[in-house]
Amino acid sequence: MSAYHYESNEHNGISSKQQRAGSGGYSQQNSVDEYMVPEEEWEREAVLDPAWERQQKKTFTAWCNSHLRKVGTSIENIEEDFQNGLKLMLLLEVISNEQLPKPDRGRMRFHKIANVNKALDFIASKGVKLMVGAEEIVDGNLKMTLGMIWTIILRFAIQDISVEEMSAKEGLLLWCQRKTSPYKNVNVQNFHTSFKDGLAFCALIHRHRPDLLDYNKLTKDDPLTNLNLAFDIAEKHLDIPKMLDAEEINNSIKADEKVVMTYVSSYYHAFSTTQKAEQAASRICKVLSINQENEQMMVEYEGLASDLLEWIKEKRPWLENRATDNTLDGTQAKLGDFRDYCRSQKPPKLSQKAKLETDFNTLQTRLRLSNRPAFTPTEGKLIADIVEAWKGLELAEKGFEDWLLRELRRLERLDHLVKKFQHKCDIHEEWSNGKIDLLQSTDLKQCSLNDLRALSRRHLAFESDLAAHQDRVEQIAAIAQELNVLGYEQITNVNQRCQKLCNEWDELGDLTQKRRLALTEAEKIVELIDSLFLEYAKKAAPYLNWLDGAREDLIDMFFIHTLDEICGLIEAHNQFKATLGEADAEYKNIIRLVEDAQQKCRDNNLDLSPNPYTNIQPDEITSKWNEVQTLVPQRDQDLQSEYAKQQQNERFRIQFAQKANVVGPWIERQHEQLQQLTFQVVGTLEQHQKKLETMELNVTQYRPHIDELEKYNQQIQECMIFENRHTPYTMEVVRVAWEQLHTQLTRQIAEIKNQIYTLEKKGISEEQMNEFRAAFAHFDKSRSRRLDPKEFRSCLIACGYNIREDRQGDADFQRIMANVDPTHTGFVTFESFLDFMTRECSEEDSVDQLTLAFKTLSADKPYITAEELKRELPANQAEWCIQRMKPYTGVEDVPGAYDYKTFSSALYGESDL
Amino acid sequence: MDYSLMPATPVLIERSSFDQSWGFRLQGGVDFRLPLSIKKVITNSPAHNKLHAGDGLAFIDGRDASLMKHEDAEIMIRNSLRLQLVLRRGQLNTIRPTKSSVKFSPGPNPRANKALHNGTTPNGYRRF
Repeated sequence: MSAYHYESNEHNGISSKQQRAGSGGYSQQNSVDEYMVPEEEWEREAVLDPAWERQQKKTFTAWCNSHLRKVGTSIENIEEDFQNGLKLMLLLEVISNEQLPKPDRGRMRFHKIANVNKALDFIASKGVKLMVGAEEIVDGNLKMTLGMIWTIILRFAIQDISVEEMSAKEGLLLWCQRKTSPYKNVNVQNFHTSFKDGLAFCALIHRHRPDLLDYNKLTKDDPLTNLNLAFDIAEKHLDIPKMLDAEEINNSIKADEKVVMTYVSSYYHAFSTTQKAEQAASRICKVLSINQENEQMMVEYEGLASDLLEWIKEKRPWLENRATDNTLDGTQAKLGDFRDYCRSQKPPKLSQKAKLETDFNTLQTRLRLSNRPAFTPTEGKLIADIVEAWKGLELAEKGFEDWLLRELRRLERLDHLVKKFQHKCDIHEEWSNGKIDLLQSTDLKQCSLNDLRALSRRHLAFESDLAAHQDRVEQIAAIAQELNVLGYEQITNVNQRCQKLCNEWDELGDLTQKRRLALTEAEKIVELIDSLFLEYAKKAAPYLNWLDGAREDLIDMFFIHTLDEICGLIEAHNQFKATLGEADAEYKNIIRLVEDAQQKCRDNNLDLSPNPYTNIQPDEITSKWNEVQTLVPQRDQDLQSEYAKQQQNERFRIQFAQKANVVGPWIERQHEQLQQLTFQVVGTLEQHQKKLETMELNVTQYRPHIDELEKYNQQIQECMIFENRHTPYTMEVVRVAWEQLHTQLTRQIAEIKNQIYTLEKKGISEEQMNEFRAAFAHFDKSRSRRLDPKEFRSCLIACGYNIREDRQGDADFQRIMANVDPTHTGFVTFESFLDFMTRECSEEDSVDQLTLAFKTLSADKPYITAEELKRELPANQAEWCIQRMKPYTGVEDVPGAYDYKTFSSALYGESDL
Repeated sequence: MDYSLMPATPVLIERSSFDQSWGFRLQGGVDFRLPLSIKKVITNSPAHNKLHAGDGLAFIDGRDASLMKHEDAEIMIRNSLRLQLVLRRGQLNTIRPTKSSVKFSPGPNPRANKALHNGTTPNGYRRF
């Protein structure tokens, strides 16, 4: 009552106390006991502005009727209809939901006073100090009646709105501010001028029921339309009767505060039911979206795993197939394929594998933190399976490159040997051509003694020639043998040719022996042959043989891989050149013999008969000698260019080695650094994550160096360079180290992210986390990132657990162990350790919370219908629930009812039995 | 895992029909990485005073429960009128640290005054 009076003072600007309060808004102590301001002020100021009186009368009447209609009655004239106290008692019963004493039924004044007093006593019993007498109400005193009604409104409709323990009025104001804050042109500071243009009402409606009006179309300049729009909508859709007059609100400089508060409180009550349902729905959505996200992650994991396994399955046979098509080109092409595999196909798959592991761990962390069951991938797609398959792939890959290079070298050597074989065979066949016919000729039967001797000598010469050829035939056979060992593809041709050659060689030997016997037989009748011719023949044959050998050596192809080898060849060639002077002297010697014979013939006027001891013509010797002399500089040139080639190879080696000697140690250093970062976290987790990410950036930016090294490596392979003594690093070693670095780095970052996630989820401080980590690391002596029971026990004691060295202590420890390691692995990981240490913090009764939320949505029913789910939740989440909820089987059998209780417990692995 | 120090307590609970609930909430299972155990017990139910919150379930009707999934255990319990359980009393009751923990974090090292810390003590003995 006195609050009413108190407020009216403010209207007239009389109260000095009010002026102070009015300028500073509603201060706490000012508003807490508004309706308990001392009576004296009322006594002094008993005037009410007629306009405000009119407003209050209309509004309070409407407010009373909005409640009275629930019991099928209403009032028309507020100062008259409450006079007998009956409707007043009824109103109080409706709004308080409580029973009042039975009213007196009489029509006498004292009956009325008794009834009004019952009402006033009830109000007083709610802790409100009333300053109005029953007589004033019975007498129909308008001011007093309005004051009493305001007290009722304040106590029953506004006082409960205490946001964050503030006073009733403050609470209602704060509610308006929070709800309207997102709206332009609305700034609720009080309950009079702030509501004048009607936008605040519209904003309140739009905030809760955006379907009812289009806020963006409203303007500040049309207050009447705004006010009427809000009042109409509130009446029609929110069941709030019109309590205010739009024009009066708009026209008055400052509308009556109590009137506006009364009306706004009706909004609050209309919306609070909607609000509760919204909160419940949003809680359910939050829970369900975690499950949906997790399921999405599971599907992604499965897909990724299938892809990766399929790829590995496809690649493995190719790597395991160690056969080439036996050609150099085919093998080179295969090496190219392998290089492509290493450089462009495998790296993305490696990241995919790392991602898979990371995703898996992240998913398990999320599941664990949200108390959901662990994820078990379908058969064959476990992380272990992936790791196993990957190992298989790397096993298949191991040595593949080595083998290819060995195969290349073998094929190249084969190529070289076949050419050499053919070359030597050609020379030998050219020599042996016709020899058999010659040996079989019967010339010795018809010739003279002289000729016979000649034949005999000639045969001797042939024998020495034959002996000289023995070496060559052996060489050919040796080459054929090596070709056999190296598994030359067309070995049959080689063997056939070699066999033919050897057979012919054996035959030549036999025939030679026979012929020598025949000649020796005839030698007795052979005269001495011209000594000059004889000497010529003796010298010419070996010399020619030497010439042939020298010529052959000079065009001999070389097959070398190092500078040392080429230097050896050059040295040998130089030594050969040193003997040329001697050869020249021998050549002149031989030619002089012929010239001497010619001279003798000329001197004796004789025709020069053909040399009976040999058919080697001096011309042949001369031409072959000339050929040898021209071949020498050619050989010089060939050797020089080969020398240059070897020098370049050496340069390539050094180029690779220099790069590798930089890249290799760099990667090793990164490994060391990463190792350090793995076991030591200095600073916050975020800083640590940043450190790791910086490192990852560095590593990624280092990629061009690897590519450069790959380029050098390719150069080396293309030049057929197989050994490199300038560096201990091979491309394969660098690749493996590089890939490992990448994988470990990614894994480390993911782990830190998981820990940060854990930190947030568990709500523990960074400092605490660091302590847990430090304690764990301290006892993890083997750096295996898990503790055995003994280590774990020491760790617990260090963390302050009182685990004694006796039976009780052992039992306590066993109990803890059974909790942290339910599957009996015999070890405690950091994650389960962390879970254990923080279990208390994260333990909240989630099942009950979720159940409560569903209960709110279903309007306190023990079941929920599909319609309710669809109405309250987003479509996909409603559908998700409907698919998983079991039908409700309670006492009453309701068709289409779902059991949300079992559903909620199952989500967390709990069931009521 | 050796459970010899955690005594196993056999308990028999009975109910008159399938409509009567046992009156306890089951939690955990191998799929939830938490031992099968009792979360809470409702007063004046068949489980009252026999089961207690925090008890672990070692055997259910003679079957080893240590590797049982939640759902399997739930079905067994639902379809029973006479439930023979072996409990590990208070397995899930949390043991809390009783003293403050030893610090492992690299904290600031209290540095001794250099003037006092010159390798010898005032009485002339050499310090280590």
